[in-house]
Amino acid sequence: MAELCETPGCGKPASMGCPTCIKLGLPRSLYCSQECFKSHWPQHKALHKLVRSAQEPSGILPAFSGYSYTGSLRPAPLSAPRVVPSHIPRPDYADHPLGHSASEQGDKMTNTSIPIYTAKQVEGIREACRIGREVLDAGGRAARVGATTDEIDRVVHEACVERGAYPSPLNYYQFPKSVCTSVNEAICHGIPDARELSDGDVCNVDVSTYFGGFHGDLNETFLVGGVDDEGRALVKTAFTCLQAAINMVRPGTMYRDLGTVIGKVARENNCQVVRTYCGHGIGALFHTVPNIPHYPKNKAKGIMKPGHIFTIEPMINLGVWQDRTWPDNWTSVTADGRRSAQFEHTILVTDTGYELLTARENEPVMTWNEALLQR
Amino acid sequence: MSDDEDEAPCLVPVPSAPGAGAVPVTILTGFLGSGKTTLLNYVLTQDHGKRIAVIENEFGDSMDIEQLIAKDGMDGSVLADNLFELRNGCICCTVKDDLVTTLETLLQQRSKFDYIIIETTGLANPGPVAACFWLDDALESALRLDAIITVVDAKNIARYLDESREAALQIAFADRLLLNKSDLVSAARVAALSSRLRGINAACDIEVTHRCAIDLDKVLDLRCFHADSTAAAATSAAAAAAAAAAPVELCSDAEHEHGDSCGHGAAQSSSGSSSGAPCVHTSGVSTFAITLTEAVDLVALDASRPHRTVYRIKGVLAVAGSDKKYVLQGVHDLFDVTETTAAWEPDEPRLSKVVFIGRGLDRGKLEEGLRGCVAAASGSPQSGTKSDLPDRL
Repeated sequence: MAELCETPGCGKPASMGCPTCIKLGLPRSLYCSQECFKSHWPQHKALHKLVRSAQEPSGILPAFSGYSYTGSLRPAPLSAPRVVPSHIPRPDYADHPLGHSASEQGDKMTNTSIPIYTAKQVEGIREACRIGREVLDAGGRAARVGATTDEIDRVVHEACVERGAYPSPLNYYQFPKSVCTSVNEAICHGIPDARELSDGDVCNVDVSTYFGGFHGDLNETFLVGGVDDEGRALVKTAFTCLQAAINMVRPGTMYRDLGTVIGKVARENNCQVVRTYCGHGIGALFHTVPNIPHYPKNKAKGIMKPGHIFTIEPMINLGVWQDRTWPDNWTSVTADGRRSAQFEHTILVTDTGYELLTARENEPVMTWNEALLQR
Repeated sequence: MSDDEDEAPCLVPVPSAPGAGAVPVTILTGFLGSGKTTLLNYVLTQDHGKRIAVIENEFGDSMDIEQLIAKDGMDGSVLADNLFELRNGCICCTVKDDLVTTLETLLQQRSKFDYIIIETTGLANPGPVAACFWLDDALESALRLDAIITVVDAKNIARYLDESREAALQIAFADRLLLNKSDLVSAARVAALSSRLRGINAACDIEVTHRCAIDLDKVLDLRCFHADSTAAAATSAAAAAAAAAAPVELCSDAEHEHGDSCGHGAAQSSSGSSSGAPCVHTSGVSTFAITLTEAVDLVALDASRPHRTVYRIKGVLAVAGSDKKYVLQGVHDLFDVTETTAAWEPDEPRLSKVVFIGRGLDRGKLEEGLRGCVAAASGSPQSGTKSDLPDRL
């Protein structure tokens, strides 16, 4: 019996097929004529799209099929999980099947006051932060045109292990890798994968290290190859925003006021501040009080006191402030697909001001130097 | 760029006006047996055209998110019986509470709801859950905190107040109190209870009900956290607190001694006008009104944190260098100062009136704290010499 044309209601015998379907390995779709194929094309091509999205490279979550991306960044396959040797002390979530941190959840239920760390605890956190700095510097050196973000993850992971530190992101609420790498429109929490960095990318590397029972947390955004002027200005604005906020750190400053200056600097540079993610207390716990929103007019609780330790990590966007989360439940991207940049330090409030626990070597006060970020 | 208009450009999100179109969230509290469920059923069966989602805790006494279920108010069908699992990925370093994110996700998935009522368990402290829904406008959430409503059982509340701390706490947090089961007690008793409740919380409206029958516009869409309505509430609450004479005859406990600790001492406000000394023997929870004739310096005010045991704050402020009225609001451990749309009338006395509701409040300290925020140019508040308003306002 002769095969019939695919076009609904046509019913004529057909022997010509769609070339794309053949290429995609689909069951043959036959049409009686080019005219009939053309008329059915708008419906037919949807089939190609559906199949193509389902056939994306292996290692990509099925949830991404049909996902509407905001920009040009796409997920790439992940490498096999990396393991931290058992002799390295691990935070409680490291071995939880869902990566939950019992200590953090308990803290959230009960603790409302901002911890004031003793001199001895500060020493421990300082050490975790110093290691974090070394690890970020190593990870940053791995960023270059053609390197994958997974390669940065490998370097970061090994740098942690060499120093006897656990990479804090690993298995934290099931985050699959040891560092966050957020490229271009990715705001934060990007998962290192097989994507190669391209000439002109901006790439944030966010390192957290757990050592001696304490976490340290810092990040920088690197300029990969020839980044355009707009991208360079964005990265500098993100740096200046953090710098301006850190300048306010001293006893008596209200946490809610940091967002005011960050918002001001961003606005002056025609940028927007991401509102969904905030800075956080850090120490024995990866994330604890205070919560530090980076946008103006927030109701954040608390006044800085000597011995408080927290991060400030404003995420600055070229376009709108709104974010979307990819179906991997981690990667946060800008809603308009335009680029985002970020810098972060872990900061101790001292009697007279602050100490950058994650400072670059010989740079106790943040100093803009684009060359240090160029890759 | 190009003038090629063949294809429509990609749309970008447009910020909406803060709070506009956001789904109101009412927090419903009240002791077991007070009539919370009756109120809920009453609201759900009225002809209001609203699709209401009800969040209840069916299992335990804690406001534990893992034990919350969301129901469709129309037919009682379960929308999600384990809100915890709905949580959308990462919770670390996000601004919003899990419960807020979860409900936003729920709304996104089923956008047909236009009201949410969160029913807390009998013993819950409504403070933390209210605070987590009192979101910064900047977040442009799909949700907005509307009001805290507490249902009180006229027959048993006096006993509960004597026996437990939570009963007074729930009353202290309320924007609106429903004095329910009024048919079971005498009119005189209702009046006496109303006074006693006002002694605890002079800043809320009290509605006397029978089987929770009440106009819906007195429980839904009250916009109690809107700056303009807070200004009005603070003004009337300050008056109410001032008018409340010590209602000694209302104390159900005849043995009770009215010592200093329960705040019966005559309190003078800084402006020299006497505020009432409410009966606060009920777990030491009471309302204080403080009036300042001088303009307030917002920078100083921002830096003076309210006392820990303050549950609610409602205040209207005359601010140095501004002709607009400002409001000070506080819930649980959050507070905020916002400009209202209303300006002071030319002949209106520019008085700052702040009402504090809390436990064991130290009037002296609160007043001292507030007085410490008086602008340098005191005595001539209108001159507004100190016009260095921070731009966050």
